Amino acid sequence: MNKKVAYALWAIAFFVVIWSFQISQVSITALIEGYQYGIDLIKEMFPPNFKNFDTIVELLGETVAMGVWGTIIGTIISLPLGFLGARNLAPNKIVYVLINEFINILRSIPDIVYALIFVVSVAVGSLAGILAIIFATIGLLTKFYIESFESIDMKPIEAIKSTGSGYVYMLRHGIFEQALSLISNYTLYLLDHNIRIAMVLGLVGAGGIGMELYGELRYFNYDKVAAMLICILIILSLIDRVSNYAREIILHSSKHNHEYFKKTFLAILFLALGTVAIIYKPLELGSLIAGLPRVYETLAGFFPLDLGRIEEFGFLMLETIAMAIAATVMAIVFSLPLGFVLAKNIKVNTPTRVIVGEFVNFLRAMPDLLFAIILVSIVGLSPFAGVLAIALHVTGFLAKFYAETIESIDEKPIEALTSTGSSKLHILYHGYFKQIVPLFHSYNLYMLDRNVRASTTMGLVGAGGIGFELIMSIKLFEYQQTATIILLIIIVVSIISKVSSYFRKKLV
Amino acid sequence: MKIEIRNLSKKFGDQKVLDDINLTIKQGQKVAFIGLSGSGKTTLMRSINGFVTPDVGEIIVDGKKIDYRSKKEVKELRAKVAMVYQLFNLIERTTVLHNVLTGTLGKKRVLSESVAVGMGFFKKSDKKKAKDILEFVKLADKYDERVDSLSGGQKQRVAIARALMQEPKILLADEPTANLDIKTGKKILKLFSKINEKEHTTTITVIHQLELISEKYFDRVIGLSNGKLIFDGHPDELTHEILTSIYGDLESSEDDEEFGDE
Repeated sequence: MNKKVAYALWAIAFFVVIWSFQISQVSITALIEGYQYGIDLIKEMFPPNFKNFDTIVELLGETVAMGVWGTIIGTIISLPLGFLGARNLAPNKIVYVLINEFINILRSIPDIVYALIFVVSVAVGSLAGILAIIFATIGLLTKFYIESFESIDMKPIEAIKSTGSGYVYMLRHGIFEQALSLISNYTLYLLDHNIRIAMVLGLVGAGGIGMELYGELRYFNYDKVAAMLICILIILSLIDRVSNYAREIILHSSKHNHEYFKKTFLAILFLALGTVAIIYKPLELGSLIAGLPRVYETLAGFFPLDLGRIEEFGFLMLETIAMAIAATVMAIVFSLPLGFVLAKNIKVNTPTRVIVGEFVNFLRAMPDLLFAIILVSIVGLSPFAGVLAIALHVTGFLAKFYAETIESIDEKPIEALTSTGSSKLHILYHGYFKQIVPLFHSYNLYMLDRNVRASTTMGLVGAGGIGFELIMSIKLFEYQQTATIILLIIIVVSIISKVSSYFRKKLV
Repeated sequence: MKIEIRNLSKKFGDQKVLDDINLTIKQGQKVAFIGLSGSGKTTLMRSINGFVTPDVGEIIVDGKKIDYRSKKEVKELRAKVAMVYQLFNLIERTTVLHNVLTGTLGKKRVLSESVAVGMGFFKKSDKKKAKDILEFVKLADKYDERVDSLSGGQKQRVAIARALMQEPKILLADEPTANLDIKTGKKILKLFSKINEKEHTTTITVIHQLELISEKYFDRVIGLSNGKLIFDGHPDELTHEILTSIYGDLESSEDDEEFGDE
């Protein structure tokens, strides 16, 4: 790229960031003023009230079950879609394009928006939640499956064909054998992700513990809220850890040579989750299917679109984008020092690393909407609360990515720089920094993409952006406006997603 | 710059990798180090720029004994002695030009310039020089491309350009052709000869491919076996017997020895 163009782009980026901070009302004063509220809130939270422990367990079970069922059904639908949508396996170009565009649209709609639609059209409760998770899962998982299938080596397939083997054998031994570890890895990741999503779907009435949590919050029963938050966090960190461990086993099977142990561990994991799913939420397949025609009816009510307030919505959409940018920048600032502390090849004493590691795990486990409902009571009903919430949650991911990147630094060029007699600081910049910056930017762009989606939902709890109008239009039965907003979200998210992925490909 | 190596010995753990090496290399010689893996040739090369500290003996470069304990002196030495690697050791995700410019990092600079370089701003004269050198290694048109888009041979030429930025009196090359095909390998060695002719640079190359050892590229071959110097002479003098003493029986090692458990 031309130097002048690069400088111009940086200058524009700088002004966009300033603009984003202004629009999303990021303010240090709000934070300082909110400090006292924060302290009061924490005081009221302690000691946490575990009187309703049985109910909490019941609700947590239901929530986990929602995530498990959503993942199972989502997987069953995504597998064939992923197979047919992979460039190297698709029967023809039309199927390939149709599937890919379809899942792009599915993916651009935030999970909680699905939940809103299903709550309105099917019923309040966990069924709407499961449906929402299924749709969100198909969007993400099909994409991941497509990537897995596209990464397979076609040469062994030809070798199998050359033995005169039938199609089924070719499928089983040629294609699935190769893609299986990636597919299982992504499925486990989605399971973890879906259980986290299930925790917040209740905020819009789609079942699980989120509903109860939001209720207690509205009655200012902060001690009960605290009890629930603690339980949620314990479950989510537990699942995050187990899922990470299981994925490690699947992807690096040579590291864990005990085949028997591996299989037993995975079997127990699935058995346990399956049991929770069946005990706490037996799948009502009948009502699930019965609900679908009603979804169609509701969707029919979305049309024709009501474009009367499009200008107003457009402005709110800008605010939403600004929030995402501000949150991403903030997360980068938080994550940089944390990432360096976490990287195993940087000299840091062990207790510090363990504490920082746990803190980052906590941020990752806590859904951003849960951060948001707490932050609005601290910094007030403003986009700033949403920005902070997203920034905190995303720091959990970004710091981890940064650390992994720093760990993967290639030592060879460092030696070459040392051999020129260069000073330590120069080696730091020209050797280390130059290696990791393109990868950091790639993660940052990915996070920006994700954050735009997240910031469209912050308004549901009063934390800024278009989400507020979205939920209001549903509450007031203005479905044609709802449709306009959803369409706007789809368009904006798709554009940002395409731009971000274009630049990411250039960087890595 | 004459290199005098006196009574040099080095152990890694219990293993003796250099055993009482004595050697003088005059300015402008084109030297090849040959020997089996583990024979000590890389260790010998790396003690010339202070990457390895010998246990016994000394190396005198340009009349001055290397003081391995003084970081400052080692850095000054490294600024004059450039190095090229088997795996190129480039920063893959930055441009060719940036990689070449990093060759100047050992140069003495005033504070303000050093700060500027630390922030990624090089002087115009350095950039001009980098582009001239890229022209010399025939990569002038690639200067703003990312290294990861280049072929192996092109990458090695970038690495050589980086080394030339140091205006080295001595150029060390650790198996620079091992990751390249023979044809490209020959081109790289030809480039070394050209550098040697142009600037009278001493080149010391660790090399594995015997077919590349010819008087076209080298005027002196040094053979090591088990840390001992067992041959020192012109490439023409390399007979079958000498090669056998360096590498063992070449024929039998190919045919008779079986691979162990891998």
